[in-house]
Amino acid sequence: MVLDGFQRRVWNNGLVLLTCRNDRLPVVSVNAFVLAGTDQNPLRQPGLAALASRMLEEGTAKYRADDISRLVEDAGGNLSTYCQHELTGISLHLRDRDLPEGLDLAAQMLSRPTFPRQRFGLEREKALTRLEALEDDPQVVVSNLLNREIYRGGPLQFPGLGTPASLRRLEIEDVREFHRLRYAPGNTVLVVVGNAGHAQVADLVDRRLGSWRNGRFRKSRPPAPRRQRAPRVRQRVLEGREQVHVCLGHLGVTRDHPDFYALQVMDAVLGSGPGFTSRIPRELRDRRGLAYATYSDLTGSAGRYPGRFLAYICTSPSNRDAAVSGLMKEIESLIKDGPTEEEMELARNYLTGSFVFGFQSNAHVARFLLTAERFGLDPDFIRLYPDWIRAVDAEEVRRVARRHLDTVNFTTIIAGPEYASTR
Amino acid sequence: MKGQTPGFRVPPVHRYRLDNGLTLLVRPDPTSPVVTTMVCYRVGSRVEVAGRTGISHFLEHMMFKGTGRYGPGEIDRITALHGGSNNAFTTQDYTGYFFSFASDRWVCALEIESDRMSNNRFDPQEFELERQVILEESRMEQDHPWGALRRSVELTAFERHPYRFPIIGMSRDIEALTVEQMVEHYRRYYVPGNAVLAVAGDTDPDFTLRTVERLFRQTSTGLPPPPGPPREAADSGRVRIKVRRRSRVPKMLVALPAPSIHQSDHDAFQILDRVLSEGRLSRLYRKFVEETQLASLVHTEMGDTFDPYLLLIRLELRENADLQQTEELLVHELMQLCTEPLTRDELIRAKNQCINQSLFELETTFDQCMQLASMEALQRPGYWNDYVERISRLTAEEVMAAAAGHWSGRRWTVGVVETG
Repeated sequence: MVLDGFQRRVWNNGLVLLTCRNDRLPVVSVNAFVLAGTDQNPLRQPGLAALASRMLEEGTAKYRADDISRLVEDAGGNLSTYCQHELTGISLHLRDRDLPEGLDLAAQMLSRPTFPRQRFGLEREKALTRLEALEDDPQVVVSNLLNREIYRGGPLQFPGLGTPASLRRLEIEDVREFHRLRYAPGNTVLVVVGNAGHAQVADLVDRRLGSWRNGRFRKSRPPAPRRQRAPRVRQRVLEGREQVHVCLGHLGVTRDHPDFYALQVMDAVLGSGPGFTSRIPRELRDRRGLAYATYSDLTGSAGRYPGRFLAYICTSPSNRDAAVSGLMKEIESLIKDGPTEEEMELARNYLTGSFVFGFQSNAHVARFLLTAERFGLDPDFIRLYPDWIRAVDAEEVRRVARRHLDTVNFTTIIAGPEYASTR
Repeated sequence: MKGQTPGFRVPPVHRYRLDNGLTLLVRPDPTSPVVTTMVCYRVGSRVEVAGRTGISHFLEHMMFKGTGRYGPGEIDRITALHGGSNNAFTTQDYTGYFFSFASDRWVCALEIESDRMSNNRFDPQEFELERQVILEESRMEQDHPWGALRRSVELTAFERHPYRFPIIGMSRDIEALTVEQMVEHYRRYYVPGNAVLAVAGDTDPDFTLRTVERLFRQTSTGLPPPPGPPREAADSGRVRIKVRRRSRVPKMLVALPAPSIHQSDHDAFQILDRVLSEGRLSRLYRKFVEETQLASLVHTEMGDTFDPYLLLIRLELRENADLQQTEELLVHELMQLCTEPLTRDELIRAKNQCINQSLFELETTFDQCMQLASMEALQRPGYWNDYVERISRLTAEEVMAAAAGHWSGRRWTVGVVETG
């Protein structure tokens, strides 16, 4: 397994470096993860973290925006910045010989961005247009509606890009302040995977970020979202569309929940297995032909905050009621009767066998190392994981389904060409 | 960072041709914990005719619905039992099926592929159910403004060639297809001589060859192929179409003629594709996102196709963008590529982007299979062997000549979705 070359170093300022050598190809993946994403947006400022992440490419003390582009693109590399629920990321995919320049750039973007005022207006306008454009994608619309209900009252209720009103209110000073408060060595994990030795990487990092200071950074964690206590139904008319999108969902679990691995097995049984082996796609797509896209998932979104359970289908309006009741029936029957032994064997084999797929590319390995670091996974996780999954039995899946799937207090989202009366 | 990328050695590929005509490609990679297999049949929308569009894609769906040996749903069940994953896709020119398994249990993939190459079943009830699934897939595609726009632009960009048809098929054709038509399609194209099998990962070439020879014993040669697709008329001028769809921001999709994988200037178009839209230094990004701020997003896409297809340019426009101004500016940018050579920096940058992309794709067994099987299916074996050298050799003048050769005096299709 490629993880044989894993090493970790922590600096006095709290910066964590994880490296893993893989010399199969002359490439390297450099990732900087700042543990501040949409979750750190002040309630009145949705979109701030995402805009800050976009602005990282607009200039640093050493590089102007054009220099950054030239540095990466001339060498045929890829640079991306992104903002998710719980983190902001900088990812560079490079040839190994370009590692020093790549690490220098990442260090500059993290610790010395200039957030030039003249670039701010354009980035904000781009975000406003993207926000509008995403409304053309029904799956995004449904997902946003569900988040609004599940994370009601907290920063995760808003789309990562923000809202038009909040974006128009944001100023460059807000972005700078966000950086001062949230981007800090004590809140950053660097992960370098590929054809690069630990000593070389650590030396480069030491020179660039060893003296980066935490300044005004303090760990902060918004209050955990709470489960809804009553059913909710939200509908959205999507004029001129042919399909209706149905989503049933509620708050899920955190990644460190003791039931996490049993819930992974439950996911594979109910709606996230390969092909059409799990119940929802097997029944609603394969046996009844109701939809092309239908699935469910609970563990995929689990993080520091509870993720979301959702069961989704998109279908013709005439199938809407059959789709809603079909999803409910599968959820209810799993809670009531649990999985069969055959389903258990399938789910366990799939999870233990496909586990290696998550370690193929350098970027895959980097993601795994970050998860291991953030959630304190056992150092022997790779060897232990299959045993943990094999230890889950049908009764355990029924127990966690009963405990974590709520068939009363959940949110129903229906978005399609016409209003529909439902329940 | 450094200047032009020097070559790197692409890991070796073992290529075999079985007596029954099946082509086998093996790229051993002992460091990978995974083996991926990919079978591609040389059949896609390119061979389809009006009234039967979408039959290749429909057939792809039916290949999971049971064979002589495996009941409906059993292929997925076996995949899961072995801890693997599978899926399939249809392009204009070929249809691909792939499995990934941990490297100690992947041979079942070949057992399945061998069986469904010759013994697929077409149960009428399963056929009807799958028709509904595909119609839903088609609606999903059409419900997105980009999906609707692409369909209209392709229908307009070609008059005769089947590349004008959506791969998924026209809805009325999907509704009318019969089991008999599909069986005929299957018998004609799903034969070893029309198939490529790529295997990448922790496997030994000799073992793979022996296993494939043992499992793929079918000798069918298929029905005679129909005449090739009609040649597209050389046609000039700009054609504008407007697509009626609810859209929050205006969108523009421009289709320009592009060479096939068999034309010598196909490599030059790889460069053009990057120069136009890859990264923030690319021409269209600078012009439309930075300078004029008419668009918030630009993207270009060039397929690897058997016959000449299209370079597609997408612009996601600002709410108040002037469509005519946008189009004129775009035309100006494109014409410039036909008359002025790229700068040295642009050329080196685009070459590095092409070469590195081909290197990054070696990271996963899936991407390796995709590289190998697709080029073999397109009858360009060895495409990757000298890819770095070919790209490295290209000159700015050759790129300019390629643009001029394919774009001057040819049909350009400009499609827009307006807001509303």
